[in-house]
Amino acid sequence: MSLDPMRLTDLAGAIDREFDVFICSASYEERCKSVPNAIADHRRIGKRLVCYNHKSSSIVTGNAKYLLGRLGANVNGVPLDKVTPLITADNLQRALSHAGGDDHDLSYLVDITTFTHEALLILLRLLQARVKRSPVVLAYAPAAEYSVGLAPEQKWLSKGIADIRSVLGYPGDSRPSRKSHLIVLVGFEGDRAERLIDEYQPHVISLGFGQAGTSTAPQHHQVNRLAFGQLATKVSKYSEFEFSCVDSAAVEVAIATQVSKFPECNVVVAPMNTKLSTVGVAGAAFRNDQIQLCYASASQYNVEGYSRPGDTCVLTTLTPEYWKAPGLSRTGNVAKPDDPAAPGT
Amino acid sequence: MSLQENPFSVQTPEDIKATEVVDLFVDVFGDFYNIPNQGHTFLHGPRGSGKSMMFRYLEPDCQLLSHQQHKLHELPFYAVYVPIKNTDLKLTELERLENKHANVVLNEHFLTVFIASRVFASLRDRAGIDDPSGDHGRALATYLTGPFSKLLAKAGMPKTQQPLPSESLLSANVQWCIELFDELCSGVINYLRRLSFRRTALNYNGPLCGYLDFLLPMLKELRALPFMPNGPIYLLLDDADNLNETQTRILNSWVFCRTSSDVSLKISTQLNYKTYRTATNQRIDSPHDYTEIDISTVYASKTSSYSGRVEEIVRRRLNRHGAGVTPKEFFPEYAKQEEAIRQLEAEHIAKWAEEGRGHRARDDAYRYARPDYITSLSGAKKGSSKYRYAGFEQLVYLSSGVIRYFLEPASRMYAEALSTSGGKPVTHIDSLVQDRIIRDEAERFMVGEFDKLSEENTEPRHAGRFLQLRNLIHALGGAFHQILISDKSERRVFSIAFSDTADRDVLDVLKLGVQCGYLHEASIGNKEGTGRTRMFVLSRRLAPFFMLDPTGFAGYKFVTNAAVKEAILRPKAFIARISRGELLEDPPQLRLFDGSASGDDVDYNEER
Repeated sequence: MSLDPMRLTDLAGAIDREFDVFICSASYEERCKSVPNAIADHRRIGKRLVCYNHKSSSIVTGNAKYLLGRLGANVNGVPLDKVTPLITADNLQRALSHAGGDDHDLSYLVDITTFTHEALLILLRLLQARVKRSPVVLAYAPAAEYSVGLAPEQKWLSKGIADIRSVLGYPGDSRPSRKSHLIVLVGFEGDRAERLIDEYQPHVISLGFGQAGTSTAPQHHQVNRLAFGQLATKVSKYSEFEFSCVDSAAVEVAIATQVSKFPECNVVVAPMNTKLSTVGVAGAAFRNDQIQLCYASASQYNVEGYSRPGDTCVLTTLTPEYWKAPGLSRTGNVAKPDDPAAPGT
Repeated sequence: MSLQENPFSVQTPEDIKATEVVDLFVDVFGDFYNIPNQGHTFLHGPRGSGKSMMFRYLEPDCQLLSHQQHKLHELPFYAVYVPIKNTDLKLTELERLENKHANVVLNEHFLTVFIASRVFASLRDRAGIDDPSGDHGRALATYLTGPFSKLLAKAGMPKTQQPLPSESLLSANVQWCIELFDELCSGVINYLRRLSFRRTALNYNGPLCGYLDFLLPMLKELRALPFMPNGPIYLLLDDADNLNETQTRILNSWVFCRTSSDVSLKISTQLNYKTYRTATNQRIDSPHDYTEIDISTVYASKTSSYSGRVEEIVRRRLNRHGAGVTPKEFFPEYAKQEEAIRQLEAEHIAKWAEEGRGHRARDDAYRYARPDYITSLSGAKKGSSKYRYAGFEQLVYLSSGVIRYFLEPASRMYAEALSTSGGKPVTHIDSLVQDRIIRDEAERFMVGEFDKLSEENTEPRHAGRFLQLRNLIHALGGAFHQILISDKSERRVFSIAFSDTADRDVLDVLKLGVQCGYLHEASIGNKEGTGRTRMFVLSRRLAPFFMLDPTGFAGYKFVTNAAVKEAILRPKAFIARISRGELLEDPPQLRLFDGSASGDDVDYNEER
């Protein structure tokens, strides 16, 4: 499986193996249906989990209902909560346990297209505690257009920051005596990134910009470049770096390199670009416990015109190496299933 | 400083070297005398109002330089800067502990070791302790192997985990302490990491350090070391709004302890402090437990003092830049406009004997000339925009008591002037550039910022409040403009005071306005002269948006709760009624103020 886009109509054929669990997320975007529609009739997929934010608009609920119906009998809904990440984590964990993930080395196909960055990061942390040798394949359906119909300089996906929080499962290892280093993977939303920088007031700022030729579509690169340019004029001193928008392994290297440039700093990373780059950020945090991930939840999303679905899809396989957390035992510091016998504090 | 460098750029004070801080800092402690004095203090103010700079200046390296002293122990206090960044202590994992007994204990331990690490980092980075004889190093080593070691043991730290420093070099021992507390912090985070996805409890086996049983005795002993000042240790907790609610309650419990003769807590907030309740739900009160300062309120009522502070700050920045000009020369007025206003003043003085309204001729000149000029520009040609908001004094008034609101537009003005200077040094900012940028800032504040606030508060209850606040600000700005261009005796109005009691809904909207920086709150003598009433002052940053005169002292009007409600719900109708002379009442003793106005004048006649 490769990072080259394939047509959605070819997706079912390209999936050449069985998957025990398929996980996707309903959203207000029409493209939340793209991958599920393409693989719904695939007979070699076992359980299906449809995540959805339970306090979202009726569009999300409607799309969740559609997906639950479309994916057949062996399907369960997983309510997530965009305000309380603990609810998201607990419900995802229950669903994975129910699917048998706690006791068996299952294979997973995850459609990451329309998860929030935070929910995706939590899911990856939960999978890290469960995946052994079986593969995890990620599917991503790029949009044909974001912020539909607007000129590049007017495009917006979300506005405002409702809350800034550390991502559950990625608390970092902040040392109070050290300086702070904020790494932002800039996406379309320069305003939100600016607000984040203003809130943190870090000693060192690294602004990451998606490499030309790695965007999920060339037109997205132009919008990203614009947002980056606007942000760069408002930040007085920063270290610039590039990262791939589609290759999670390359993102991980880019983050690790940037972290190593300021070795005596506490590191906070804000993934605000593509979901595929967010997967790479999670990988960097798996390998380096000192990295804290943060999430700036948006106050308002462009629900009406967030995206127009495309007709392609990218598949990427996360190898066993991706899940490795050097220095930590699998039953130690990584997220592990509840142990009901554990005594209380 | 290179001429290419912007003299008005805003830096994080934490990163500024002591020499530069001392060079740039203008002593404002005359206005905020509680900050450098012993005692717990809350310092409230919006971002950019100078809180962090005040804290930075109190740190020992700056104090040594500014007092021209070489010995740390001669300082009156030892201040430790403790910035609270957004997700340093407010980790999402801590929510797992909510409503559990461990919640308070573990949060307190986390807060304690976080601060303890900063204390020793301060000794390493800011104290500059000279120890040629090695006496200080030995004193610290004795302390660490004695009382400190016992404290650690009492906190539950196994002896095997605390290998004591093997040498008596001061810097090595300080570093040992930093690493110890960093490790303890790390221990909490690692515990939380394991807790991330557990719905059931998880044993915590690490040490537990609290304020009364660890931090306070540790700091007391530290104070007694020969190189330390005799005075108290100040913990300067910057941006305490970033603590979670449990940590906030814990900090309040520390305030409640009244230990300020040994350790004084100086807590800054951005007007969003979560609660004043302690961990045991008791309320801390001012002045019993702490003193409280709101920077905006102080400067909203002390314009003259603020103006002097800004002038000194700008003078120092220009000097460092090598500009060789005064602030007034660097930000010149629009000469043609000021000349026209001076002519109007002369006319008022000439006709005062027959038509004057004030006690003195120059009162009328001061009170009416500029409003007359602005009025003369409005009318059929919609020419009010020709009025130029330029000149150092106007810019100071327009910054509305927050230095950042002077420096940020000034920085933009400088950047623009530099880009068109053809590589020559910038010696002044053209009044047209000043006016354009200051108008742009006002529009951004009234339109862009409001849009952002509305976008960030989309829940119906909050969204409704923001809509009401927007209405209120439009209503007040519109009404004050109507008054400015009227023939009333007092035309320069920026404030309202209640002639009756404001109800909860109205107060909620006004408080939101204060929190977002559109209003300042103060108090003033009530209409009956029997006590005081609430007063709300419109931010002068909005003057260009509503075509108001930001200069000088401004009057206020009494309003009823019902009138403010109308402004909140029907702003256009409110403005129309103001135009007809309804709704607003003059204060009982309307007099003009000048720079030497007495305190009584301020109370009964006008806000400054």
